[in-house]
Amino acid sequence: MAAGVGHGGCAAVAAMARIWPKGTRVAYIDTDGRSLDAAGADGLQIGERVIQGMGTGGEQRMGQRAAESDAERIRGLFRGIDLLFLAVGLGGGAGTGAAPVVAREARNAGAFVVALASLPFRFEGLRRMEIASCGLRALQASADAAVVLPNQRLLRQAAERTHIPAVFRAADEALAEGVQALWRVVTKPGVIPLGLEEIRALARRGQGRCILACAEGRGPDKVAQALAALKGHALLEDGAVLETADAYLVSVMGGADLALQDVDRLMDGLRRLGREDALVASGLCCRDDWQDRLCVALLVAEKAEAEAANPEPGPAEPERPAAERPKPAPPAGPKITQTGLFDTVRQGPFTDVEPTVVDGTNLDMPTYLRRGILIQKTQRESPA
Amino acid sequence: MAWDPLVAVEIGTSKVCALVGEAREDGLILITGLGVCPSRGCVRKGLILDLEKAAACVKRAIEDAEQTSRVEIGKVYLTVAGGHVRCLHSQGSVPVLDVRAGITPEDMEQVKDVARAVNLPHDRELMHSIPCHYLVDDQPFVNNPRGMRGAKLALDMLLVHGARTALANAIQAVQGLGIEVADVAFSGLCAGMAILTPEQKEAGVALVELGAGTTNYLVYAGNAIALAGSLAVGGDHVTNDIAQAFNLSLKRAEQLKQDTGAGHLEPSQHIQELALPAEAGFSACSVSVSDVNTVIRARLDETFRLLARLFREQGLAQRLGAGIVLVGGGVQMKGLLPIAECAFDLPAGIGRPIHFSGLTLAAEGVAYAAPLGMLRYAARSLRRESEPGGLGRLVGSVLGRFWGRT
Repeated sequence: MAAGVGHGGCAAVAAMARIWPKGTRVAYIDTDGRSLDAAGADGLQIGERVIQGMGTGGEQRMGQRAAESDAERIRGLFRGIDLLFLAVGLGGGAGTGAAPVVAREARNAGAFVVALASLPFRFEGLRRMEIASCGLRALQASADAAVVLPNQRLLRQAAERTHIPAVFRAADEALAEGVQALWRVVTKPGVIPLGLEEIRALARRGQGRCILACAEGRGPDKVAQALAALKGHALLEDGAVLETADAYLVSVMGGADLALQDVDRLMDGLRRLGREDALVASGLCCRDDWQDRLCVALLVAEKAEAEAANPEPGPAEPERPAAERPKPAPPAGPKITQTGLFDTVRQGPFTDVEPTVVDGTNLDMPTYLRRGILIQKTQRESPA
Repeated sequence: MAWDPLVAVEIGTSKVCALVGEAREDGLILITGLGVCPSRGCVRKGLILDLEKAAACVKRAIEDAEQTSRVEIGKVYLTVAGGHVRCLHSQGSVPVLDVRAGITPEDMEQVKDVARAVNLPHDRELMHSIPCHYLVDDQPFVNNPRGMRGAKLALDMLLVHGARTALANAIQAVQGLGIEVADVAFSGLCAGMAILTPEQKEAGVALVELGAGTTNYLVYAGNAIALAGSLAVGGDHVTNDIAQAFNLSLKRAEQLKQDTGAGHLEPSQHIQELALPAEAGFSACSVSVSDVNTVIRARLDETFRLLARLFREQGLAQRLGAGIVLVGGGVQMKGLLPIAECAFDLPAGIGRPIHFSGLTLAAEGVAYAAPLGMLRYAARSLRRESEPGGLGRLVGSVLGRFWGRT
């Protein structure tokens, strides 16, 4: 299932529904009643009590409140769904605020949530980018995997004097293409299967930022075409992202006529584009109705330093506390997979007292840890 | 008629305080003395860990209060809090003695005794028994059944109980100094007496007291106390979260907590870093203001949501017309109210002591809500005792009679 949250997310899902007619169930979630009119039965208006059907005015908190107030309905929307692609355009109010809540509720309903979030263009201003960064962090904590689409990179692909609506439409379509590629990656039974766990594992690496790029090739040099397209892909910054990434995921889809040599050449080419020591997870599947056609989807775990427009302070050693997966039933207790972070020696003000346990949760353990919020540890040396 | 000065003592996780006050006829209480002694280390989450040190703190606080008030203190009223304080509802019913004469005070006493006779586990002690509302035959929600005609009188009562050892320790900390403990009460109930107005109680209100070691709550619905208790999560948890997140000493974390606050940050603050110089045992480092803010907000949000869920489970969320009132040292946190409003989905405000005067309570009153309320309770209990038909002085059975109605 694919769901869009907020203005950008819904536009992306609408674009997807256009190029992918026989696809999957879709849903549109927004606070603005009017923009959902076109969605018909697939639309879910949230926060009616809180916002009375209007927009959030760019206020992320309003978006969050709106989603929280309708948490039950959101959860009901995803009942029985195993896999959810959540599209959202970060930087505004409804999408940024509501998306983490929607992701959380979808997980509570038992779905594996892959969030596809686009970051604003640089011309939209620093504030929107900051709001988007916050929203991304929250989304990374509440979804199983978060794939990032920095819109700014798309500008390079656009010709000079492209109209603004066309630029945004291109952004929507990029998001839609991403969903489609990932969907195929995961759902088609593969010769070499690729599972959701690999995606989640990749998403947790490093800063948790994943970039999705897809490329196609047709005809006899389909491999060369695909490789060239990937190398020049705007989202991969002309290959720079791949060069520095320490892990990525490749999914190859080809026709029944796909030869082993083709796959070999493709993987070889990718290895040369990327790092020698990079961790690669790969999957391969074949479609009977494809002929002389190849589609490569690349999910790359990006290093944060590559993102120059990012206002986050450069970390020395980012700390990644393990996130707790919310279970539909009340949790039996927090799973501390990162040891040493809260052992008895450092109980500080709570030594010698009984731990405060409510509903099986030890509240003495810091909240940010239990909620899977990523915090960058302090640098030991002050910067020169 | 003037009464002797009254003294209330609160043994808290961050401080022990003693308040001396004089009650006037019209209900106004004039604060004449205040003594405070930090209690860090010997009290945690509202529980006394080191009796000797705690007693020393109490002594210091009382001596300071004696100095400022120029009164010698020999008897105090004690407020206690701690995660061990719970409440439960119990019902009792009795047949009316004389149906023709109507319901008499004796009937009311009898049904109270029946409702109160609950078997608590032997490590628990009854602190308060508070009548919520009566039922006369089939008519529910009767406030005062006196004189009404009916065959059966039933009572819904709220019992507040605490851990026997915790209570005994608190009492011992004072009695060990040779000072008499006249009465013991739950801080949350006391705070309610100092802060809440009759209008708020009528409309339904939840008082949340944010202390260093515990968060106490008191909920009024339908003009009666519906819920009272204590959650052992407090300001110290926020400090500890910061210390853990950034590898800081507790002292530094505490300072950072107060400086940063929990409010929404300005865009410039999002990328701001604070450079912290080296101190004993910890090297110099820098922290991101945004991250500190996030850690604080996460903890506050979680704590409020826990309480909000508790209120919802008890069916109280819809009945709080006056919303949430916040008191305690924790309300000094910047940006607290929006977080509370979001978590409870109700309007929230900071409470102020009502009908008190003296010292600098205007600024500090919120941190002393519990002992202030205890003074009011003490004043009322003395006033009732001087009336005919006064009540005995038993810890546990007396206390309840002064709550439930104002």
